[in-house]
Order: sequence, then structure tokens, then C-alpha cells
Amino acid sequence: MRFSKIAMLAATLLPLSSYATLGGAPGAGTSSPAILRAVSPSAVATPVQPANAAPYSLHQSIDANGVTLREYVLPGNVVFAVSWDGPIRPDMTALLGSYFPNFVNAAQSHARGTGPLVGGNDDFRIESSGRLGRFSGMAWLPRLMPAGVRPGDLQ
Amino acid sequence: MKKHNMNTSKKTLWLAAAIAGIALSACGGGGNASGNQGGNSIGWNASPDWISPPGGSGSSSNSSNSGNSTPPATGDNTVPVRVDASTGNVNRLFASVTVCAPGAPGAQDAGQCVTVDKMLIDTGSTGVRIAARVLPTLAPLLLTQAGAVDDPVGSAPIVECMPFASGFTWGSVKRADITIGSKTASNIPIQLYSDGAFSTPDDCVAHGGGDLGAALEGSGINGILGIDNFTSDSADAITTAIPGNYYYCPSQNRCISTRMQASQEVMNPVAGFARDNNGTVIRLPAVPAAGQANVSGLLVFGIGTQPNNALPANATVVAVDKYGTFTTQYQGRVFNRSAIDSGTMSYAFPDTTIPVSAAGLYTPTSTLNLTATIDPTNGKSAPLQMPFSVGNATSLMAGGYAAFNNIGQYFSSSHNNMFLWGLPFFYGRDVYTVIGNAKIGNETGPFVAF
Repeated sequence: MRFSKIAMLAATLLPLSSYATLGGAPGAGTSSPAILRAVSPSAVATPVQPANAAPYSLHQSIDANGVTLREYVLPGNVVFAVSWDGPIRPDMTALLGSYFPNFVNAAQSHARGTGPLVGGNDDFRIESSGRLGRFSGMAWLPRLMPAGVRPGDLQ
Repeated sequence: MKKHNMNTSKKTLWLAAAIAGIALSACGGGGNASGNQGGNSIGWNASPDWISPPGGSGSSSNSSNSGNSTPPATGDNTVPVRVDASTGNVNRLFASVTVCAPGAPGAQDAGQCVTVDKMLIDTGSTGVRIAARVLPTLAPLLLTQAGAVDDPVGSAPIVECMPFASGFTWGSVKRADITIGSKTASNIPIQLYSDGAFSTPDDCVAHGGGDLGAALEGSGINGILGIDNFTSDSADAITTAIPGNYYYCPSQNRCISTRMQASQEVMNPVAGFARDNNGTVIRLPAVPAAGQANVSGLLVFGIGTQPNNALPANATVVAVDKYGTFTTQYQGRVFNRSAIDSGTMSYAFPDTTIPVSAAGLYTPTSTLNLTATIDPTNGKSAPLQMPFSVGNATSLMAGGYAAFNNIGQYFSSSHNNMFLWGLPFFYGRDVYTVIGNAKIGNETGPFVAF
């Protein structure tokens, strides 16, 4: 696939810029080969909503290890949620930025043996699952979630 | 705890064979040449011929591979397992294992063996992992695993960063004799985590997140007994030096990511037994809807090898993929990363209509009787409507009981496609986990059956 080759090349050349940073500006930026599209929650397909009422946009990229990264971006260019899916867990320090310690803390306080992690607090939530060979998850900032959007709505 | 009797000459022969096998695979250059990668790379009958462990009857593999024509007396292939409140957590299934320095002479030779309790039984991971703190005097006697594929010298210790869903365990790969009940896997690679021998690499933390070893210690868990469908723990490391997985460490502060030979990876101990090595049965009694203070059951080794581990003709057989997963459908949604996992304490799945506690557990006002469909992806078995119930976790767990068949856990993420049948599923059932391509009757592994 040409796209994935370009994405992997870009990820190799620009490892930092290919990552999102939760709570900051989207790492993918306009110069990276990310998919950018405006997203409306399914509920807004009602006549009362303005036509352009997209509460967030989606940036998607694939990192050098083949992990699909998605960043969910507010109109103010702030990433309020990220997700990952791939053969390994991505570099979470790059993906979560200043919220990486929240991930570590959630794991320490919510880990139930070897099972999935569902944890966090009102500031930061994370769901992490998988096993060697295939990992996925999502982290989000509840206070920054657009009104009417639930974590499960983030496709 | 009985210790196996090791015939020294057999041991030597086996070691020689193992070394020859390693050399062969190294010359072959391909990961599949080693032939013992779990699950999908080899044809494998009920008695695997890829390994000729010591301790079997007879001097060659002939008699030990003769199958089940003369089954030994029932019972030598079982070990008690238990769910109780001793760790302050619910739905954790534990067994004891005995760790010995490889080839330790005599039963429970002083200082050469340690019996470790509170080993978490996990059908969702591969291999034995033990906290170094429980083996303070034995640890130095275990053999160091060296010879990483990418180690130019070949003598640096191999250390693993094992990624789990919630974090990582970091520590040396050692060779030890692992005895569970009266079955011994001799000289197999295990992980001695949180041993402090080598600094945790940055990319282990970056990809791994939190130190699960510390979290397990805080939960009173001494280790993980990973007995899933596979023989060795990392299929990907056979071909690629994955960030945050296997390392060789020339010095304390210098660890380098490496590819691995399957035979040197942390190994499912059951696959290393001389007999009854094609899988396991977890046999737990039913518990009432209000839960139970504790539960005692059995972990049975082997499937179809003894009178106590036959796979019933009417069992539901669920084929699993190379990740140990299959498909479950729930309320019209397809979860193609579904697993039957004793290491998960709940039924874990997304349902936005059920109230959830701050801890992410379902708290319906009254117990919900739900149904999901297990849809074996091999197309050979019919979909199975599987009823299960979810109670109010907060009120259930308030009583101090440890065993519940109706704890549910919420996922909100829409794209992980995960539906986990955790330990609640196991109560009142025999759950069979077949290792690799073992053939049980007409069914070929890897599969889970119940």
C-alpha cells in the first residue's frame, strides 16, 4: 500500500511529529500524511444542528511499528482523546505526553492481575487491552470531551 | 510436594539434544526452523515429538510418546487450585508451583527448591513468571538464559519486558525445573521479574507503561502461571526485535532489543511435561448467585490422556486464532477479539445501558440475565447461545466473598472489539485449553472447549 509506505517513511523520519500528544496540539499536523476529517456524533443528524457542527476532527496515522494511532482533536486544535491498535503498544510517553504518569498510576491502582486495564479519574481515563502480538486501547480527557460525545462514540 | 527423580544420563542426553536443536535452528536461520513455536507452525500430535524431556519412562521417546494406551492411575496429573480472599481481591485463581535449580538432586534439596503459592493461573498468557522477592536464595542458583539471536557474543543474559494489557513485568529469563502437582517441566525458561538485575530500558517503560510486577506485589500475588494455547510467549520476537519485549544485556545499564529463538523464550510449563502435556482442564465447582467465600477446584494436565481429562463428545469446541481469540456477538455487535481468560476477573464487554461504578464494574439494580453468542470462527461448530448473568458488583463484593460468577466490567472503547469471558465463566464448568496443534479426537488445536 502506497499510503502505508509513505506513512511509515514519514514516521521514521519524523518520529515525534507523527505522534499525537494528549492535551496538546495534534502531533500529526498538516504536513504529515494523516487522515483528517471532521466528525459529528451520530446524534447530530437532526435538523436543529447547524450543518457544520463538527465537534471534533480525527487524525489518523500509522507509526513505524505498524500501530494505527488516532487522535481526536477539538476545533481549538487540542487533542482530547487518543487510541491505538497494533502489534505492540505504541510509545505511550509520546502518545500521552504529560499524561503518561496518569497511565502508570491507573495501572498501579486499577490493575486486576493480567486482565485489561480500565482506570483513571475525572481528569484522565484509559482503557488498555491486548496481549503480546496485538494491543489496543484508548485514553481520553473527560473534561475536554465535546458535549454529547461519549467515549464509545469515538470511532 | 514431590520432586522428580532425575536420571543424570538422560538429563545429559536431553541437554545434548536441546543444544543440537538450537544449533540446527541457528544454522537454518529461520524462526520456523526451530519448530517449537507455539500454536501455528507445526503439526503436533497429542504427544509432541519436538521435545524429548527427561523423566519419561524408557530411554527414548518411543515409550513416552506411546499415548494413552495404558493410562497411569488417575490423579497424578492434577493440582488443587483455589479462589479465596487472601489477597484482598475477587475472582483470582491460584495454584502453588515448586521451582528448583535445574537438575537439583533429591526431593526438596535444601536451598535448591522453593514452593511458591499465590501463582495466578492465567489462560491468557504464556509461561511461568515469578517475583524475584520470593526466591531470594534460590534465584542465584537458577541458570541464566543467554544466546539471544542478535547478541554478537552470545553470552549476555536475556531479559524480558513482558507487556500485559495493563503494564509490564521486567526481569531476567532463567532456566528452572518447574513442578506443578507431580508434573515437572525440566530446565525451562521462566521470567524472574522485578529482580533488579538490569535497569529497565526506556522503551520497556514507554511501551509498557506501569510496572505490573509492583502492582502484583501490592496484590499479594507471587507470580503468574501462564497456561494458554501456546508454547512460547512471543511469536513476533522470532522474526523482529520488537520494542519493549526481549533484550540481551551486556551490562547492568545496557540492554539491547533482540530477536529470539522460540526455544529460549519463556515457555508454557505444561508443554514441557513428559506426559499430559497437550493442554489443561480447569475444573471449578459452581457458585451461588450471591457469591461464595472461596472455591476449591482442580487444574488437570493433559486432555484425553487419562480417565480424568477426557474431552466429552458433546463439548463445545471453540477454535482460536494465533492470539488465542475467537468471535463473540453481543447485542448485534461483533467482538472478534474475544477470549476465555482465567486471568480476567470479570465478564468484560461494553454495554452502555448498564450502570457502572467508579471502578468500572457493572452495577445494575437487579441481576441481569444476558446472552451472547460464541461464534467459532473455524465454521465447523454451530454458534452457541451462551447465557451469563451480571449482578451489582458493588453490593456483591461488599460482603467479603472472593468468588462470583456474575461480575461484569465495562469497556467504553468502541474499537477494541473485545469481549472477555473471565473467571466468572469458569465456575461450574470444565474448561479445556489445548496447546498448539495438538489433536484431541477429531479436533485439532489450538482451541478452547467446555
